[in-house]
Amino acid sequence: MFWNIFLLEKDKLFNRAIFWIELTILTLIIVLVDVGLYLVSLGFSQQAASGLAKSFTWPVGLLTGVGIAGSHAIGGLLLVVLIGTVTAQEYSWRTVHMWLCHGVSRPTLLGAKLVAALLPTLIVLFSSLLVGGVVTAVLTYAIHGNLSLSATEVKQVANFLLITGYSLLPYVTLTFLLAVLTRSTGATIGICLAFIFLVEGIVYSVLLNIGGAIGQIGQYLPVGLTNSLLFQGSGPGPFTVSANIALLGIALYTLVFAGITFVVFQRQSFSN
Amino acid sequence: MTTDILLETERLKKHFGAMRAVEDVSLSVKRAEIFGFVGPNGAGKTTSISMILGLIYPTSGEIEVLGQRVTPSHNRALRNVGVMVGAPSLLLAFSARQNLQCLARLYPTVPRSRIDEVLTLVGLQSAGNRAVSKFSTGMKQRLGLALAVFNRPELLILDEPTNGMDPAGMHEIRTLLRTLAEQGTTIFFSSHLLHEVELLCTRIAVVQRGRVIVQGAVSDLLNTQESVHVHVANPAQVAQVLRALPNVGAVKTQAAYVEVQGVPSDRVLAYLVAQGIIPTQVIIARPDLESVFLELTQEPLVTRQEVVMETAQR
Repeated sequence: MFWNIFLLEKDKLFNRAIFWIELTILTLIIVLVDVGLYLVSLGFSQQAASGLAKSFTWPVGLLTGVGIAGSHAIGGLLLVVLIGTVTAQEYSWRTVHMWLCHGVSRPTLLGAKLVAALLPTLIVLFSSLLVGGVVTAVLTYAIHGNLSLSATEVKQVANFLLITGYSLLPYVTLTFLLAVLTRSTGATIGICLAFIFLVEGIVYSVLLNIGGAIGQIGQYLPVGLTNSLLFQGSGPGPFTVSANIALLGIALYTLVFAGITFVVFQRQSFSN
Repeated sequence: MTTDILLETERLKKHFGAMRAVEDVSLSVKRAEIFGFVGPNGAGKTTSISMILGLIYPTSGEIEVLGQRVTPSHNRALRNVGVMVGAPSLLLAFSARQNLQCLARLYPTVPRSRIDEVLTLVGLQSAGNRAVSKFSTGMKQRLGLALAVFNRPELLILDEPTNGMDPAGMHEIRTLLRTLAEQGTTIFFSSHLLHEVELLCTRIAVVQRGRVIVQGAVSDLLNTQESVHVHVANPAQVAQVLRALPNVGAVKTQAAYVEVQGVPSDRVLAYLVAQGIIPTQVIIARPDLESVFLELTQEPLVTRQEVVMETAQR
């Protein structure tokens, strides 16, 4: 039954226009950003253009593409909107009721939906890598005449991809939790974006500036843990934790959000 | 509980804080019957059905469907149940066919040809590829029914199945339900349309203020409310005679006839003939379900209990 529900969720996702629209938006943004930077660089002096070109040519250009899929970048925001919409809308359509009335157990239904939510996450991640990789490859060839493959560290790209994907998990499960709790698309997306921009954006920066013991609180937010993973090996920083703690922290956030979702869903009433 | 009883509830109760939505709903639905669940607005019908389907946690009470206990945590028995509760649950962004294809994922053993079969059954064969968001209320109702019967369930639980449909559509749905019942499907449905319930159902339960106040065969319910008008030359004297008839209900003297309630007309006639009284005319006034329902649900519950007790003591 779990597998059947997962396939059902997959079918529903791929039949939703919003999924394809978001994928198109992501692709267009990646292309526009990279091509736009290239066009801007044409108006600079050679030295300045060379510096700017590093951001849209290989090897850094590959990382930039993946970075666009990150939790605080366009990819993460599109995921919040997509997962929030498809999950909360099932409450307003009452199709959650339908699956339960057909004898699907609550844990099975929620578990399959949660696992299925990883599908768009992976698609956004690899789409960013693919589109970003292709666009920056073209620009690299146009500028340098070759792809600078020798300078491209595949291990670094793979590492960055894994960290970016892993750091998306708390936001995916948080979106899911809010959709189940509020049953409202607007509330889900609004609260998630408020968390990302206000709590993690503004509050995190303020805490960093305050410094000291208070400043250290910020490093335990999901964005702080992600930054700790990304800046490992860059030398000790004032507000980074070890890789193990960062990995554990992100896992804990994911499990706590998912766990609360299960408890809430198990106790929910689905009246008309 | 035997397997001849496909749905049974015992003392179902649901309180939402201080609000007592359901106080005591105990009913049983036998195999192959069409069972009507009727009551005024706010009586607790939809809340009761929601508890039966594991959508709401009961405050207390038990539910068995197809011989297995059902709770929100244990709803496996519902795999062989077809459901349409309230407005149909539909994926509005998809077509009718896609909605059925999604449901088909839950029933991999049901052949894909069943999708076209149920679309034809409910009259949506030409609208199968249209987006459900563009459907009229009646079309959505038909699709909801298609989804409910897709897996050929043993038990169908329907809440207002003809809601929003035109008279022709209602007739089609009633015919469909009769056909399904003849094929062995047990049907439990709630409806405000009492003439529809009277046309379709073999047994009904009437619920008021969260309690089942009457449950039984439709024919028995109507027979007990039947009144016999015996036209005679001397109504007062004949009324006196009839009051001695065993188990008679009310006997009222009118200007030209005697009204007798509580016994079938054949017993009244046989008794009169035995007493040497030949009426000039006998009219059987059989109420419809609507008038019986109104009488049952408009009386205060306390008054009705007193009447039952008084009758029992006689």
